[in-house]
Amino acid sequence: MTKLLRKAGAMLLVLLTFGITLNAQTIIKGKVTEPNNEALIGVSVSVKNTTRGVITDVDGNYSIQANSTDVLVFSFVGYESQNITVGNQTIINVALTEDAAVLDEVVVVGYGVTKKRDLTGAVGQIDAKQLEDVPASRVDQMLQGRAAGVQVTGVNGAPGARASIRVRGGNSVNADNEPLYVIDGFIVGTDFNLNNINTNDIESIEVLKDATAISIYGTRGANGVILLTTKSGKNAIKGQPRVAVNFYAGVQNLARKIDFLDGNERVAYGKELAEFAGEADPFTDPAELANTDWQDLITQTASIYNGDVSLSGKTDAMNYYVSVNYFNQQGIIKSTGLERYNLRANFDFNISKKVKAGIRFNGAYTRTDNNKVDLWGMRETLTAFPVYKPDGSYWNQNTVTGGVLRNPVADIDLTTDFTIGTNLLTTAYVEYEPLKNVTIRSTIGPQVSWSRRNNFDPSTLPVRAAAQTGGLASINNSLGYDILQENTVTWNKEFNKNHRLNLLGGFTWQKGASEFFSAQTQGISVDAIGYDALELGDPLTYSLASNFNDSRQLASWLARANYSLMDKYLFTLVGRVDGASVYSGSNNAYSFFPSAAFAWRITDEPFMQNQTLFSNLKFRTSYGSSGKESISPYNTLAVLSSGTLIFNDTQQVGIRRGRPSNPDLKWETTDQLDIGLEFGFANNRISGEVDYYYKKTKDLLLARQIPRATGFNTKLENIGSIQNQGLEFTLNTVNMNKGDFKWETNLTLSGNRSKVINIAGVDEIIIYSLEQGGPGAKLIVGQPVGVFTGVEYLGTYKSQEEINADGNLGIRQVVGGPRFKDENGDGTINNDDHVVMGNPEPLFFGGINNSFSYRNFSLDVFFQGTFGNDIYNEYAQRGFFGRSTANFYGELRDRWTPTNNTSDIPRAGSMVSIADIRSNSALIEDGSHLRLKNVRLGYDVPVKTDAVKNLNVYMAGSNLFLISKFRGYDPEANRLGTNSTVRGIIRGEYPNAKTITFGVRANF
Amino acid sequence: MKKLIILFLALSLSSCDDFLKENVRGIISPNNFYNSDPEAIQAANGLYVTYREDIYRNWQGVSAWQYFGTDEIMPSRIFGGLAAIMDYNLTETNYGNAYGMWQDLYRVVGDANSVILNLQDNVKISEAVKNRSLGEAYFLRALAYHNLTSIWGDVPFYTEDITLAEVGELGRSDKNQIRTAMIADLKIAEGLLPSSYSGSDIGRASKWAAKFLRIRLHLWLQEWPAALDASKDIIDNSPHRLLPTYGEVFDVNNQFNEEAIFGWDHLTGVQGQTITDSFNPRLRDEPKNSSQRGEFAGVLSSMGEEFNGYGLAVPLNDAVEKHPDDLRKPWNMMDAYLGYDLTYTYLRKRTNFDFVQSPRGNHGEWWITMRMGQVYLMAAEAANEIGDPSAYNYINTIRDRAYEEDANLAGLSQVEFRKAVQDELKWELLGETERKYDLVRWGIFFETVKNANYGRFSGPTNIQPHMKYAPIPAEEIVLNPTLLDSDPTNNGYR
Repeated sequence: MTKLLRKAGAMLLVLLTFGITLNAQTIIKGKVTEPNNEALIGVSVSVKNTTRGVITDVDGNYSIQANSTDVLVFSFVGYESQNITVGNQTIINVALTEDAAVLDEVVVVGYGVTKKRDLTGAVGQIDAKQLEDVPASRVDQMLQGRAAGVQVTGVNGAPGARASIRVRGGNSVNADNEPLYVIDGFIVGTDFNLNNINTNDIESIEVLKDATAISIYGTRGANGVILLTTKSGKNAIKGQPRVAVNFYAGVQNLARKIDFLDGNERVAYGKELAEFAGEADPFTDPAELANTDWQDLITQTASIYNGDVSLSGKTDAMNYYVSVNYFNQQGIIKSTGLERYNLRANFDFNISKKVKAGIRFNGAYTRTDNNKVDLWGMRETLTAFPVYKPDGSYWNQNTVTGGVLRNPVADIDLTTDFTIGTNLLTTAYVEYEPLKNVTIRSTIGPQVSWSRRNNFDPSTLPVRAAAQTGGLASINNSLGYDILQENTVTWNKEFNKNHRLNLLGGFTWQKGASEFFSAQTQGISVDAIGYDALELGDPLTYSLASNFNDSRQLASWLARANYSLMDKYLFTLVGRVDGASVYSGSNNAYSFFPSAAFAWRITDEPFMQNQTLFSNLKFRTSYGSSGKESISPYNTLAVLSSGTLIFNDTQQVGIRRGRPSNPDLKWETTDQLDIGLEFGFANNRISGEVDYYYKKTKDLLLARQIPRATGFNTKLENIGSIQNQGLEFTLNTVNMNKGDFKWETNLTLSGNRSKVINIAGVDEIIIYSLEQGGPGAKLIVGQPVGVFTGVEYLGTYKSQEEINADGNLGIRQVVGGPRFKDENGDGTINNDDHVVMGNPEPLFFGGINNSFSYRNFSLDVFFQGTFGNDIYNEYAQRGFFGRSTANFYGELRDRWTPTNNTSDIPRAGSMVSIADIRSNSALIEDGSHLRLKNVRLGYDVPVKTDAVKNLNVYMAGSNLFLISKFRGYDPEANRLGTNSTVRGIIRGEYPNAKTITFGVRANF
Repeated sequence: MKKLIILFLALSLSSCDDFLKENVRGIISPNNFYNSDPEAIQAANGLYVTYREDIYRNWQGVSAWQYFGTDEIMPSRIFGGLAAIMDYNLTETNYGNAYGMWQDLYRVVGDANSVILNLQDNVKISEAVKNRSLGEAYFLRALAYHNLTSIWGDVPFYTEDITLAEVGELGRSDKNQIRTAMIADLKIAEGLLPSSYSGSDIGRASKWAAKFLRIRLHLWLQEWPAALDASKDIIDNSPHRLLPTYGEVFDVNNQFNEEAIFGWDHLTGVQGQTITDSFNPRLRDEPKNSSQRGEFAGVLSSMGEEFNGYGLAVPLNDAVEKHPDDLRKPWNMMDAYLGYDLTYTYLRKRTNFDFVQSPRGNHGEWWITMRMGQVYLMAAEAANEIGDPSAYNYINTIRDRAYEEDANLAGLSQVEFRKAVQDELKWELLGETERKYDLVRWGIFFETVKNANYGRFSGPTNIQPHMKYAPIPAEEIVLNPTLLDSDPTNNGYR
């Protein structure tokens, strides 16, 4: 860039010296912009076949003398050049489009950058520009549908909730399957709270997917690596500090409501149920009945607003980027939300010709108001219950169970539960070039995070008032820290035109630990005290916990060699040795992860020079291994565990054997093959990539069943294997580029097929069970990971003859009641009948972004979806089959009755024991969906003042519509969050919002 | 350049192993334990933890093998979780509780072996603490084998701290050999354990608890004189005595009364138990006249009470029908409360409706498993078997308390007396302890279940003689096939 500026400066000088002397020329003026009308600074504007040229100023304006027959050439790195004949124009405005032949584009990879054309591995790049102005607090959710092979699922819809990401499927059973996050070179792990990063500070996002890309991260790379690079001032104009402001505000609403039987319908059902099941009618007193829409009462139209101000600039000695951010999102469930203050300061210093140094600093403060109403917990809060008693106090009777009702409105009104978090993430580096082409780089950075959760349930809360237990207050504190120190040496050598070599070697160490402390008490008599003075609680109820159990150290050696032969044949070798403290008690403390790749730039072959079909064609393949640390600290050691016992009403501590020692544990290893093709047609107006991958993970850590006569039931061993294979497809097209109108499309489409190969020698492992009703999800050898299991629901029994034909299956069988298939035909329906009923893995998933621009307007429309995955709707066990204590789906209006006797919806009273409703096919729903995930409509306001260089107003929307047959809030949720194998189980997760925002961006 | 490389290598290779070493904090490893008296006490405590947490805390724990599936207790309604027992369709695979209980009892065995090994010759522990803790370990291990042999008959037997792999290959040992070995251990324990405790040690195993357990094992082995001697010893020499009235024994405000010898304590607020829930009624069933429910709930509430239990452990129809009209009946059979007739009959002595002191799912009641009432009846049984006339004294002491009028027995044949003791034990201990073990021990389990009124449960129809013992769970046999060596039928289940 500097070179370019220097060159342009020289041209300007030439122009100044000679330009004026020429006459018969007119002055042509104009502005050079990007398609979205943002000014392009430093564009070279020259008169063809002359030495005359200028560059555009900070507003993108230029002025040059030319004849009417002259041809002006507008060129800029990374953009397609344009030639325009002057004719009789005096004002020529030009919009340069980015060069589709992005071959000189730079890609960030682990421990370095490389040119896209030299890349041998599979790396997904996400244009941070497309994520601009998406109303969300964290970057992971924004990645959904943006990169092939990267499946992103929101865990729930709460403000600040994380997304669960699978890069090319999940490798592990017991360990976490989330990708590794690396922010500006700092390895922050898999569960870094991304709410700490302002999404507008992010310049580029790279997802490392294939073996050579990830094996440089050794034991932590197997799940893929997401590299986030934040903005710096290196592209700024020298001496021209730029202030950028972005502000948006909007509203969010519950995107979907679940149709439940209303209060009156629920009472009618309850009476039918009681009569048929021979139970007492719980709804005898009309004074205890109401028709309450609890969903309306707990949700709200919520606000969201965000403000960013950044300052960036450059001098000879340094460049800088400093930004501040304030983000505030209310939740659509009352009294939830997320608030963030964030400061980023990135500096790079040129200390001398040979020495450079810099710092990346990020500080964040977040406050999360946690959800107080568990929607699953509300399943027994019937629509037939009132909110308040006649005297105005909260209703607290569950007339069905006879117990105390947890009133969600009271929970929202009275309880306090919030988490305050602060995070500092810092890296400093120094770079030294002792010799030409040799760079030594050393970095060190601490990360410190602290969080505190305060919780108070006052004595007036109905459940506590009933039990007379006073207020409940608790404080949870945790502190985590990490120190990473890395040293690398790189050597670049071009021997001659045909041989280029790039070598990297390094040594790194990292140390991290976390500490935790919590205190809780009950019996706080004065509610105003809240959690501020736990010592005022009842000493008998004091409860303390603390630990320091997560200390981890890693020491690693890494190396990479890139060799380019004749610029056409590219070879890469990568290796990393990791030593980990968690394995120091084992015989396998150190492990080596090698990989190799080859790429062939076919279009650079002489025989391809005469064809015009392909503008780019590159074949690449790689193979190698990466690892997964996968065990917790001390897992190799025998441990005694503590428990509680009571003597004479006094609590005492007992210590017993917790776990046997395990000196043979080692890393889980994933071997991966990747075959990819990059292509471009029509001068790269159509370009894309296709990848096939095959991954096999071996030495999975699984709890092997051991005879229980030992007192233990399992022992952790490296005894499992899973495979994943899939196809990834990325396509970028410029559909139209005519005059002022431009239309571009980016499509990603992927499908992953997982398969369980071996699980500790057993045929299956139950990974999820209903509270009652048997196994709902299993790992079964030969099947995809985490298939849903149960018995087939055959509809209702239409006659006694059908029941007689089935015989006594050991569960309740009544006419109009549910009929299940005795899968193994043994005359009893029990756990042995649970067969595969569904698969949480989509056949394919992806996203499509369409960008339109016309004059000052720009429009981005982004759809995302999955196809062919199943959802396990745990709520339906109660909501469809009619558990006497629960709210029911509206479809039960059409239930079986003696007069509606063809209905396949079970009659009221057909369920007496929930255990009779085993996991079954009626709980499994189609999870396929298409979502209008993001829309952004922008308008560049033509402003002509010195102060405001650029002004853009926009309207953005998120989750605007959803096509899905799912009965719940959203097919995208996961009851078990980021669980490695249990996916797609939904029962009452925080719903997603529909969001509309208005915003303004300005540069000064 | 060369210097730099050397520096770099020096940096990277220096003391990596030290850096990687785990700094063990926050966990307890066997290598840094058993160093002091408090640690020895905690190690012994750990044995109680397994019983309290896993075996005697939840209502469906060991009770499923003790008073369910007998002639005493049933759920008030069809309940899937107990179908294997109440309907006697028990198989090797259909009852998870069996495998859980198998593991929990062996956990105690393994833990006790480890405690004994680590304390035996440990010079860092004072004599007094060492003795008590070892005594507790011998007692609690014997209790585990008592339950294991009572539920499964022959089982793997080990008393040394052997490797997991070795344990995993053990076959089944003869139940009577195990009992004999445990009797020897209990004699050791009786010598090590104190006679009574004070303060926050009340509730620990005393020598009398060990002796009580030894009587149970002698009875299994039909070693009548030894059983009688030990019973006599408790009656004559222990601080325990029969309380004057039956109801006092179950006073929740005086749980550690003189009659109680041993039990499992719980504390509301500290992971309380759910056993009381199983005996407590649920409001949706009660009262009989459901139109009075609101009114009834109001009356309960005004007394600080609720019917918020599970109603899943109530006297079996058979017991309701046959209960004699004695002074125990009001404590065993509650078919009305506060003047309201109830749908089901509840075992009043084990209920507690106080929802503040004893809330749902979080009860603090002590589960008494050894008390004087049983000692007298065990003495009576043993005496009868050897023709010792003192048998009448023992049984009549119990009947004196149980009946308003004189109900003394006299002049029975040995067989008649045996039957009288068996019945007396039922009414004295209804829903309290190990009825099933006794029925099996007397050899009358099959006929008793066969002839009992099980109401809606099909136990009497399905019961088979071999069901006196549970099958060893199929999963365990898969992992350790030697379990079939001594009995390929797995107690008659295959």
